[in-house]
Amino acid sequence: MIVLVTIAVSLSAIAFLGWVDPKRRRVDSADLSGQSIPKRVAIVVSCLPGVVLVALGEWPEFFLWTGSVSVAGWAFVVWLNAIEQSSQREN
Amino acid sequence: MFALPKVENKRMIAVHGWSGIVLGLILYVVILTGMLAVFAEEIGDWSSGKVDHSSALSNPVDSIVTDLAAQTSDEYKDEVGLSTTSAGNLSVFFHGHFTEDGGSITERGVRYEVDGEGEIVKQIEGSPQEVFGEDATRALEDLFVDLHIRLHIPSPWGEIVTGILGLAMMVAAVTGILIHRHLFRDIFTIRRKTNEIVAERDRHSVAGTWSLPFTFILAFTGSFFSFTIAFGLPAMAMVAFQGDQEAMIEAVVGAPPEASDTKATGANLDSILQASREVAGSEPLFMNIIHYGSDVAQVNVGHAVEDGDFFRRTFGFDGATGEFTGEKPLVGSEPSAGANLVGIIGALHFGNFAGILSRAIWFGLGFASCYVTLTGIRMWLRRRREEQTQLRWLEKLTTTIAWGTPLSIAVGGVAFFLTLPLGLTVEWTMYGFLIGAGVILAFVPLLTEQRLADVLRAALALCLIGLPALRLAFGGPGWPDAFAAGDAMLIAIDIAVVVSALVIAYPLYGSRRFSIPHNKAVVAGPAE
Repeated sequence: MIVLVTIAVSLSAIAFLGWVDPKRRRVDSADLSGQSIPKRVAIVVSCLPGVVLVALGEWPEFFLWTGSVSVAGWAFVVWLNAIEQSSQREN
Repeated sequence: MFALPKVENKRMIAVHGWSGIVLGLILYVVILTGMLAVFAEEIGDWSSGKVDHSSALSNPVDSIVTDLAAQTSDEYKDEVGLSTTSAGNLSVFFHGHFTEDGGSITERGVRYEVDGEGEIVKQIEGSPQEVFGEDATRALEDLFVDLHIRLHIPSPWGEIVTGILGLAMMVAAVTGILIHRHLFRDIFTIRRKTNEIVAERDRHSVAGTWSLPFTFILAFTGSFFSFTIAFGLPAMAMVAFQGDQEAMIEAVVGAPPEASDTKATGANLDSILQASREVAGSEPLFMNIIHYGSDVAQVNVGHAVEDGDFFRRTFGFDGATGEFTGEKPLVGSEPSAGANLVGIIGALHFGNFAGILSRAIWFGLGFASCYVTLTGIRMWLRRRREEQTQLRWLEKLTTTIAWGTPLSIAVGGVAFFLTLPLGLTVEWTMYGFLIGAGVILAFVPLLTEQRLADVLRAALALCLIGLPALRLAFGGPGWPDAFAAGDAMLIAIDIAVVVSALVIAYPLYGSRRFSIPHNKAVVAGPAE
């Protein structure tokens, strides 16, 4: 259960970081007004669950967390790219 | 991330590119089969039609072992191994250890397979490879697992090749970090409005960056296992034990008790299994009895990996009294950091430490690594497309291997199901794989690269769609049987195979290039 919570927390933070990422938004010609959103907080939040798992000595959970975040993070970027591409095609 | 001087950066780019281009295609085969091997046991059960996953050690075994011992030659009674076969039968392997002329130690014995009624359904005599290696129901699983471990190259050369591939993967990962200046800053960016090479580079580096920690882990642990089998253990026997294999085995797996000629009835094996169940809190997977029938007999009982553990646990019992003697480490006779490390290395490579969840994640990581390898090779080739037209064959070869490897394995799967009722799967799964590969290679000169990619994609989708149908047609259990046995995995694999086929075929749907006959070269790049 703890591992699902940590994955959810990190992925939420990563989704936020990806959504507001200025470089990605520039590529997609999106509005850049969201740059002032506290990115550093989101970076800390995304990594914090891993630190907590290490501190608790939950090594199997830590590797599950790292693997999930790696795969889901990549899938999220690919998905984000796909929806931007399809919306640009429609426009 | 790192700002290397221009000359060094150029060198790193060259090392990154060449390490990928020279070994990348073989590495792709190893990673792809490794991705499948994560679910080897489940795919093996699915293909063999096994829906009952209960351990044969859940039923009483003591009287069966006693009866079998009475009909077994004394030279094979030194050690007994008990486990469950893919058909759910009890496997009992009585064997002895024999010193050959060259000083090497071999095992030989007789293996019985006993069904739920206590009847012997199979009896084979020989070495462990001979008595365990001929399991016709696991031939499909063996096909891709052996490809992953040694590319079907005889040992130890196959392990040496896969070990080198693991090192190449690490070299590519390290140089990849060094040459990308904005590795983490670009982690969300895929540029599409620029040219296709830049977009391909972004897709490659984004996938590579996200899967970076595991590229190291999987490459290192894979090389560790390959080189341990190929070099490590023989070298250790030579250097540390002056070639004395027996002494080395004793040091690595723990010294067995001294053999004794004094016979003893021994503790009831069912009582030992029950005691082990209580210690571990789970069903036993296997049992091993050393010096069977003597007063110094020792019994080890192994259990599956439990939640929160990295590796499976084995418990020791006194074979004469049935007394619990403690947990047996994976390596050596006493618990140690080294034994834990070996266990962790295995768990991190196989991803089997948290059930289906960890294996699904490891499968995804394998997919990401396949993607990174292929996009890297294609990018390297595309950059040289204009200046070096002589490399076009390599682009075609990349497409051939990218789609041809899973297609050949799928053709092996078709051959497996067709020959399963005849009991010829061991030979014909491999023949199917080779026939598939041969037919693909025969088509290569006849088609343009794009056309070849489309044809291989379509053939793969068709084969995958056909696999569950063939499984059912040749006597495999249907979904009602799986429901009745509580086996969701069989249904899940059926669905996964069909969904994979649809995903693979989807880009071809309505594709004009697939319906219009090709009689001229197609300039478009390879399919994604």
